[in-house]
Amino acid sequence: MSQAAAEAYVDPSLTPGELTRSIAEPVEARPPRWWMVGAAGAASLALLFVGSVGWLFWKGVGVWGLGSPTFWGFDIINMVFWVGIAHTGTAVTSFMTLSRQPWKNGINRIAEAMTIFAVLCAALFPLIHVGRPWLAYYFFPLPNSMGIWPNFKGPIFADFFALNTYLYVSALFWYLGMLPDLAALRDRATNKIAFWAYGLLALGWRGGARQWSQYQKAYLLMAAIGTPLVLSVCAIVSMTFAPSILPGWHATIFPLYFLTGALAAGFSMLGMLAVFTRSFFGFKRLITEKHLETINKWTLACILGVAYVYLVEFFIAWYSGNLYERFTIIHNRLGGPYAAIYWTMLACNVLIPQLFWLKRFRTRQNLMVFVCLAITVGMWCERFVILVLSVHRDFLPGSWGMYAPSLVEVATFLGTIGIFLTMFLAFLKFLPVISMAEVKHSLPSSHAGSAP
Amino acid sequence: MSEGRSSHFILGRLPLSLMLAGVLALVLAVALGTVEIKRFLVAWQGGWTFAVSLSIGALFVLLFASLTGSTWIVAVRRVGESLSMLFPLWAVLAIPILLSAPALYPWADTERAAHDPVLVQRLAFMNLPFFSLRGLAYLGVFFGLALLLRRSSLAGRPTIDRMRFLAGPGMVAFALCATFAAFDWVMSLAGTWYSTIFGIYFFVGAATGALGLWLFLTALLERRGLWGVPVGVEHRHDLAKYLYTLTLFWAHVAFLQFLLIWYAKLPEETFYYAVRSRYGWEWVTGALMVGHLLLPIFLFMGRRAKRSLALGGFFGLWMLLMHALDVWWMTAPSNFPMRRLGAVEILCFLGFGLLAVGGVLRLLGRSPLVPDQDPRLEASLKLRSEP
Repeated sequence: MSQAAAEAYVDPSLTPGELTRSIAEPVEARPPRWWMVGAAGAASLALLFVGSVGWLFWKGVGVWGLGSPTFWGFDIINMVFWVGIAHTGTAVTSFMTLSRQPWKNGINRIAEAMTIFAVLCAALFPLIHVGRPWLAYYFFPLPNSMGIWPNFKGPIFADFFALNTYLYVSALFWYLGMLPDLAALRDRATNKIAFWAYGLLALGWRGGARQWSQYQKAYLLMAAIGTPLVLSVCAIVSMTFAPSILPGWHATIFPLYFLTGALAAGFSMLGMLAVFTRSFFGFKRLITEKHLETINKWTLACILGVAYVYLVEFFIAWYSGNLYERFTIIHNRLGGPYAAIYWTMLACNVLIPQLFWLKRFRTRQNLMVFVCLAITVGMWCERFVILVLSVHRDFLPGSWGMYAPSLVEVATFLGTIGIFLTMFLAFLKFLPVISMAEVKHSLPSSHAGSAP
Repeated sequence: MSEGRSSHFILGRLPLSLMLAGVLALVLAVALGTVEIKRFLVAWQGGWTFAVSLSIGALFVLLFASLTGSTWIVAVRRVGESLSMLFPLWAVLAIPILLSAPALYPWADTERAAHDPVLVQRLAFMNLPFFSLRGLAYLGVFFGLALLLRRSSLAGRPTIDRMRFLAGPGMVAFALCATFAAFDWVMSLAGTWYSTIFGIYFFVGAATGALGLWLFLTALLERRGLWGVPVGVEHRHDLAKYLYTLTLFWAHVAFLQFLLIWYAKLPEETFYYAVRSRYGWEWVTGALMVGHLLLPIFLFMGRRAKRSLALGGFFGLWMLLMHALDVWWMTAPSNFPMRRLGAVEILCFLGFGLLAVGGVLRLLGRSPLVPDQDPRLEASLKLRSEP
């Protein structure tokens, strides 16, 4: 990485001591009032999940709005929505590390935390989707009492492994990157509990030359593993749908469609979380306008990829000459009963993000939050379009039907938003939000005396 | 910083000789083609697609570098720039394909298309006048972008900054043109077949071939001591890493396209692979799996292989050859379900390949070998690869 490029992303007047202090202070100080209110609100929202899932277990899946021919509704829509958001964290850290992009230093910790919390939210849905969560161990390759083995060629089976691998690797990557910072918190601890807690988590980090050398090798290795993993997990999640012969699902571009969609959803969410963190914690010298602008440029690039896929999907539906492809992808989306959701998706994912071509929208917080929020809504609509619009009108008009989520499904989704926010707020309070070690490396004062 | 030298006085007559050899190979192919005209046309179309894809691939890499403000590539940028400036040559050499389209493209055979329930629906889009017009538009956009990049590279700072600003819309225009060019020029050879990922498959493969040639020529120039500035192992290493990544990405896209079609088993899609898995084509498919993925993935994973002058140069040449094989595999089986490989095919691919290499070297000699007007050149020359 070029040192000049790295320095462009930090306030040059910042000293290493100030940097450590400003990152460690939110962890060490008593939580501010806004945090207490926010955490209480988020946890209350999370309780909606507990309540709605409790009701589901008590009554059975009949409390959902599913019915022939739509058997995959809010549960799978929201799983894919959260999985999408989850992809950016590991992509930011691993891909940006491999391609020597210095801007990641200020925001990679937030992105990784977002990844892990979003994967956890996503993982809840398959568990409740099976209807009998006490039999969820069927996902594992274990013979059941009937002697039937799981279908090794089945995409759902691959999904289970992909999501698990992704969760473990992402969590390991996150934790590995945090080791030096946890040790810094341990060394600054003023009470015994914090000293022991951060000391245990820091795994005996002392910051010796040998430890740094091994750490950097491990970090690079994790980056090399993480980059193809992002691609493969997106491909496998898309294969929950694409291997079928349903128009709207069976398209060879689906793996890359999911990749670009996931990155767009993740970058837009990351943009919002970065604004939230810098505004409430006063991290404006660490998460700079330049960071926000770069995140928004990436969001624009990924959302243009999404628009490209929409166009190609549309064109090939016509080009194929296949009656069912044309009906599902062109007629049913543009003018079917769910057309409002499709047009909302187009407005949020194609039209509004074009505002990011303008520098003002990339650098002003309120304007960028508006665009990022629109993309998040648009990506959710996209998941709805992919899921419901491909199945609610089957090949024969006799098997057509409508799907509308029940209140329990809506509450379950809102509950996962609560879970996500609760975990994110806990992260903001208890862990170093910005990588001290990496940002210090970008400070001009860290390179004093070296060749210009 | 003006140490970059023009290479023409050292390369001497090599560029012209290579181009003449290319022309000779193509003339020989024409002579042999008089015996079996369709075979010649299929080989010519394959060779042309290979050559134009190299320029498309180089343009993609240059646009991406401009968009991201990459510094590392600045010192070796001229190789890719020269490759991307060859579009006018490819436009002229496309004329035989246009004139013989009914023999190559099922939709251009009006009688056949009129009786095909799928092709007949596409006639509003897939007809010869519109196809020609689109082709001209794609080549025009590609050349326009290449020209803008070239001029900015020659002129220095203000235009480089402007080009970075234009690279965003440029990439959008490029992606659309490259995708529809792939649909028109290559996918439509297979008649009713379609695949939504095909555009990406085509231009990722194209970038692999272009970077292969780029790396090979960079190593060649270094071996002959032509750079005159400290261009060397660090730049080759980065080029090789880039090529390695694209090789993996090509394999990812190629495998997923196959997997999804195999899994769904829809006859309207599977015939593309059915044709390529029998009557001799299975060997080409196998060679692609081994040569385009397995061999490079193991041989060039290590840092030492990527940094070695000889091995790095070989990696580039190998991937260029594999890209040629990939283009032949994409184009020829649609017209010849029985594999045919002989002098005509070899001469066409060789002829277009030599024209590309000769053309690049000739253009390299017309301007300083490194962009000495670029303010990032110094940083690029000081590049040090992290482990």
